[in-house]
Amino acid sequence: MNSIEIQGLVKKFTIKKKKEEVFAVNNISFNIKKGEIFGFLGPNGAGKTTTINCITQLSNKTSGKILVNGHDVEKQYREARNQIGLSPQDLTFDPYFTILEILVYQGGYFGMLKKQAQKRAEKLLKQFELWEKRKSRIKQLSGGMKRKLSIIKAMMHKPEILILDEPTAALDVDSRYELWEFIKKLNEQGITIILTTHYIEEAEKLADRIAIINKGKIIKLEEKEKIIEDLSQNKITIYLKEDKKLPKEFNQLNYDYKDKKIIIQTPKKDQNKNLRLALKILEEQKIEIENFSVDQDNLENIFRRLIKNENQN
Amino acid sequence: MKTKTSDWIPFYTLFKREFLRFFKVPNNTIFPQLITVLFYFLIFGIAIGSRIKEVSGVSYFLFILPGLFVQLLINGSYSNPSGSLYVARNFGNITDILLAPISYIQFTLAYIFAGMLRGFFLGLGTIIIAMLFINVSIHHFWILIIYCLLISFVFACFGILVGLWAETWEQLNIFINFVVTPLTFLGGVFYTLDMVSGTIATITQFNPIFYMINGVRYGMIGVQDGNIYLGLIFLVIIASILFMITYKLIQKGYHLRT
Repeated sequence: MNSIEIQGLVKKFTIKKKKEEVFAVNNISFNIKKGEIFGFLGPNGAGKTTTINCITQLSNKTSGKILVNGHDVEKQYREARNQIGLSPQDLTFDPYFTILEILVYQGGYFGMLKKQAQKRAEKLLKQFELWEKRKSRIKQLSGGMKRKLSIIKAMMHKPEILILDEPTAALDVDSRYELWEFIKKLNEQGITIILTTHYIEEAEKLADRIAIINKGKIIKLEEKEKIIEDLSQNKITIYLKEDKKLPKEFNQLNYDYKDKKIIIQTPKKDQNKNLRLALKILEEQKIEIENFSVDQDNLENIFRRLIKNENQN
Repeated sequence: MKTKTSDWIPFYTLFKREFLRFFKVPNNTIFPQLITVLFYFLIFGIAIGSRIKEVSGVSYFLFILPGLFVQLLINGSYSNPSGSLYVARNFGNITDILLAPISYIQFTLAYIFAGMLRGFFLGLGTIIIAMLFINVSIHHFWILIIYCLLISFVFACFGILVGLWAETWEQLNIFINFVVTPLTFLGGVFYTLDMVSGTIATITQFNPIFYMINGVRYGMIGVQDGNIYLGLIFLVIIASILFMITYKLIQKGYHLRT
């Protein structure tokens, strides 16, 4: 069962001065499964926010089809919007009202009665430690508080799909960890979460599946573990006791040798095999080693390599 | 987990938000207009009016009341949606509405009705101020109400259109400063057609606001300077056309969605 189905989504903008068409999103198709945390990664301007805007109808798509829990976002826009809560990248709030009033109106926009909305707002404000600020205006909140309020707003109507566009931007470390825990709890309750982030660590910690978008195209979409398994380039470092010339057998490894230190780059799946091979060659050549270490690759490095390779091609 | 959406709560919430917004900033939205009207009454109604003999069988004070009433009705109906939409687009909080399960027709009507209500509020304020000086009785209640509804509807639509179109605060005020205000003054607020001649008389005759003031004046004090029913037909046609344009633009997301 899919929460969101995207088929052949295209969004192009026309730059009037240059009379040029730019594809912000160029024919992408993917599904987001019900109940998963979906990490949506990409460099600035890759098309993440545009895709989200097309899902939420903040942008009109050029072509393609988007279904939210089976509802077409254009033909059945009310049903589709009712399913989604969005905390956008740009923090925007009604400047005329207090925090509590903003949330009660937000509930009302989604069909909640005033009492219902007040109760829900109170619960969320207390949960996010903003209850004391309920009578404040937006300009009296710090950046982190505004970010929290944006998430509360998105959750007011108890959406089945929560889209968090850069949710931890401007949050301090403690708040970030708290939010991560909160996202996990929400997900455990069955809420589908779509997460775009610049903190790859965030996606690595939270996401079940990850899509990487670059220049409007999806360049990778897999289970997180599979991406790490398939694309990790681990680093084996072997420290020699003395500086010696390495035998030609070493050429079958992708290595670098300098100052008694051999650095071997290896795919994660071949790591043990290559380590054994290197140690065997050294032993046969009677080259003594002092120590060795293995550094695991992480999603951030994988992400950077993928984008770099894509941009070079 | 999901809360069921009632069809009309989103509409009612947006309408309420739009109407109450202007009470939050009364020094911008209520008092200046009413104080201006008070001065019009003091200067034109009392100081100058006392030296003018009756116009069309009523005192000059009473004669200018419907015109000033229409001026504030127009001002309120236009300013509420135009200002609110412009600010919401520029602050970005228009996304609250765009993300909500509110239909396009409800979106359009909530802004129109809230604008109309603000227009009526200011119009009522004008009558209350006038009642401090003179007795006001309504001559033809239903004609007055129908005219007021149509006028405020038309200018609330204009307000939405300009609020969607304007990219700067200056553009937002172009319509009210360079179109509505001159046409209101040249629409017979302070004079009847037979008091003027030449260019002013010609402009007045072709001025749609003249027919609006004429209709309200008839409904309020029983004095008319032109055909009441012609004005009504014109207003119904222009209201229908403007509503369709407004609704279509909101549905399309003109200057709302990228």
